[in-house]
Amino acid sequence: MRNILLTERQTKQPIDSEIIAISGIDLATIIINNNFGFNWKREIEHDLFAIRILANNKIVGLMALKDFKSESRIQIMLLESSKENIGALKLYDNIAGCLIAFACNIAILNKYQGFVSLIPKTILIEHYKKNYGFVEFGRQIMVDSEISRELVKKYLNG
Amino acid sequence: MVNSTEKINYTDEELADAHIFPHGLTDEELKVVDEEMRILRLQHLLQMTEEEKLQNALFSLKYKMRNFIEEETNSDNKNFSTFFVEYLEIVRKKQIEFAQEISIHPTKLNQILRDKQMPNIALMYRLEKHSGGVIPAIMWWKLYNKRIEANIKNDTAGRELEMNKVHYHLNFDK
Repeated sequence: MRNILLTERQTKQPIDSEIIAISGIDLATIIINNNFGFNWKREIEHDLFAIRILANNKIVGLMALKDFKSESRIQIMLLESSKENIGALKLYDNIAGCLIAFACNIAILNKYQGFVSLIPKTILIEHYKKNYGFVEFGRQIMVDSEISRELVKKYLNG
Repeated sequence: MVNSTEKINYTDEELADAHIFPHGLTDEELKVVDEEMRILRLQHLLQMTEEEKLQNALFSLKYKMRNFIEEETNSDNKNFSTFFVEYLEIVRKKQIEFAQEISIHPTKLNQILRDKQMPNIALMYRLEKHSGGVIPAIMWWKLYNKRIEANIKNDTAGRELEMNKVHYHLNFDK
């Protein structure tokens, strides 16, 4: 998927990029470049997606999703921005936002009311609430319906 | 501060801005959390109204249409009528009833649904209104236009036939 709202932090200009599905083989090549710190090998059983910069083919974000079909929901298992995209000096803005919105897009397409959940670190819950509109749902947090559509609209020009 | 594998110390805000961390639960803890979610979610689904279910299906169709429009190719061989048929299935309308609702002749509707007649812009405005604004006329137009574009690219016989009717044409030196 193209038309995503990835922007260069310094210039605030949009960057030509796309979200692509990747295989375990792609993942091995991506993590060998040492730009990611999490143990992504554990996520091979899940659906894997990456944000790629079109100009240089660089992968700047990874996400693992699990489709709980019987519960009509998508769970974000793991999401990581590449090392140069963390903190105040990061190169690009909105990596996590675009990937979360992409999960919402799948949940809408699958007729799950856009229901996307994740198991958060307690200390970070407020951030996900404030920035993406997640609400608490048992011990997970979730977005659905209008909030989900708003995220798609904002980050994927939907 | 959440522990980071990085040597640099980021703020929690910066870490959350760039990650969704692994859950860090044991298998037993995860089973409890998954089961709790399963029950809550199924209750949530049971509480959905018919209106919410309809809206859910309509937005799914809208997003499918958008993806199709953005695709460079048409691998599934879909077109305007494919999505129009799906729309009718979602709103659970028979052709006769639907034709009345949008003031179109039933035969004409049938022809468009069977891809035997081209839709016009008036129909697209009516479809926007019928969907409660969920699927805008412009999306129906882009669907239709994609088909026309493909036809123009591939219609060599038609192109040749029409070009043979041109008795004079401009001719520029390179």
